[in-house]
Amino acid sequence: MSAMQGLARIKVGVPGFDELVHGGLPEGRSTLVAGSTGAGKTVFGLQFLARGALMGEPGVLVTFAERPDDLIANVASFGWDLGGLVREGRLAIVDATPDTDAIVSGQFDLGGLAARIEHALSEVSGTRLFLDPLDALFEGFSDAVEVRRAFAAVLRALRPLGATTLIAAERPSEEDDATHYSVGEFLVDNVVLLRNVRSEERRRRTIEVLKLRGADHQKGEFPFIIDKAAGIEIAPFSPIEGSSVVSAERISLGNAELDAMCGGGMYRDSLMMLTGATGTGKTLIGLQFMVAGIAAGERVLYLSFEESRWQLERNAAAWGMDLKAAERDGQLLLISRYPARLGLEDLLVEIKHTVEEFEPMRLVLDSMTAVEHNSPAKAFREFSVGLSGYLKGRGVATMLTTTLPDLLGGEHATDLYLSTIADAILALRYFDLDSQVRRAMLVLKVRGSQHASEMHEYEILDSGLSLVGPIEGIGGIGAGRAEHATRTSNGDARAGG
Amino acid sequence: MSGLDRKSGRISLRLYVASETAPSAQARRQLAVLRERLGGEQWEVEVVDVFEQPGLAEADRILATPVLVRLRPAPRLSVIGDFSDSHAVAVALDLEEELER
Repeated sequence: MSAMQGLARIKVGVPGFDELVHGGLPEGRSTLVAGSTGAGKTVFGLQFLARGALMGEPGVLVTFAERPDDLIANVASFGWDLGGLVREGRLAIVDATPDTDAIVSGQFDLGGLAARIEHALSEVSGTRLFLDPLDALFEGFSDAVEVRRAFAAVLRALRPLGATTLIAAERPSEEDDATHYSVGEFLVDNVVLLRNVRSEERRRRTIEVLKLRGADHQKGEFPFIIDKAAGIEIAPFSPIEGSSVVSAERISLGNAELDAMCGGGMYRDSLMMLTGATGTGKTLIGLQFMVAGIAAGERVLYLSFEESRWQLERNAAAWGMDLKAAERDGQLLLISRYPARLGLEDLLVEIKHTVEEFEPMRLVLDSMTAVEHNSPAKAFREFSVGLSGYLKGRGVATMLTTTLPDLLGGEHATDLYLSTIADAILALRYFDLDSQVRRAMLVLKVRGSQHASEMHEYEILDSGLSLVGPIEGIGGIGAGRAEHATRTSNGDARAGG
Repeated sequence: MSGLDRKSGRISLRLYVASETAPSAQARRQLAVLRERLGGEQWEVEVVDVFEQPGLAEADRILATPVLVRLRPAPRLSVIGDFSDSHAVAVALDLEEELER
């Protein structure tokens, strides 16, 4: 195993994919890219060739179904100038559309195909090879068994040339793991599945590495998008083992009392979740967290998915924060939009692009509840895991909010789920005591450090959030049924505040 | 007979083979048998090894080997395989008909 891990890897050029296979596809090996019609097999393969050519690794395209001119035209919108690459000698195309008029009499092999691919590879000094789609080759001959045998011989003949090879093949259905002619499974080293299924009124694309001979890979399905301008991009996912360096650096939440409650602020590469009903001050805490970052000279990305830019600016101004100035200074990037219109994979990729461009040290997303709205549960889970893993991997301090539907507490499925990805959870609750509606917060967890374990009452003042103190002798707040166990010592003093 | 010779000269064939694989060697033999049987001494016959002349294979978009291509007369016809049934090949390429014309 360890020797295999030492295999040289080829960067595929599909963002996110190389991480799935821990650094790229093993050099010189063959990979079956299987999927139903429209799953993105051709785009995947052409991206492998186009990006490879641009990285100084020329390639050969063998097309069994579409004429080269059609293929070139079809992918031009992705910004891949295949025609140009051919003219520059960085790509060769073998037009292998079968001659369906030919009559077959007796035994044959695919020597012509092998010779032409060899020739093309040597013409451009190619190290990448993509055959698309194998099914069309089979359809050109009546005897599938013979073609399979002959194609296996072609692969064997090409192997010494050392080109990293992708072979596209159709799957009859999304449920079936096998391809039509069981072409690749036995001949190739690796198998990658592309899926394209409808899920709750949305088209959902996923990619899965089914087999990677002699090497480790990420298991399971990962959502991906086909960007009209850039091709396939796999949504970010949890960083692989070894990349999760746990930071010991503490950063301020922008409120000394809150920092103290959390054991001295939050860890630099951690994710904090704020959960509470509307009006409990989640946005305020998010803004304070943002301001603390700006004060420390950091860039902050603020994603406002519930409040408009105008609302947020106005609310912030009321607490003495000038968002416009921070934006002018380039320390704040505020994006306000309603995420529901986008697929979650698209949203995730968009956030990733924004993070890569702006390089924030902190990120506020208000709220995850708006992201979840109308999204399939599975897609939301993948989004959450993908986002948190990606941000932690980049060491971005993150604050997410979720809105509880019930004003007086209670749990919510989203919270239960999100709590597993959060490093710290701050629960904000209303409680109703002696006909007064008051607010209390509880630190539910802070991974890797001591934190206050009691409920703290807090107030929202013009100056911001202010902690009143620990609440003693009141039970049932978390469940929305506060009642005196014993009388609080300073309850009367707070009543007017 | 002289008429046949004249007619057979109008036939141009190209046999693509893949080095010395068994089907390719068999195809060469079968083609020789066919020529003899049909009196095709005047046929223009060219044997091309795809690995030696890949450019030609590319131009003719050859995938399977061996393949016998009738270049002349038009239309272009081709038969893939080791010609285990030489009669079928002759029929497929209309060779007998061409000879009898």
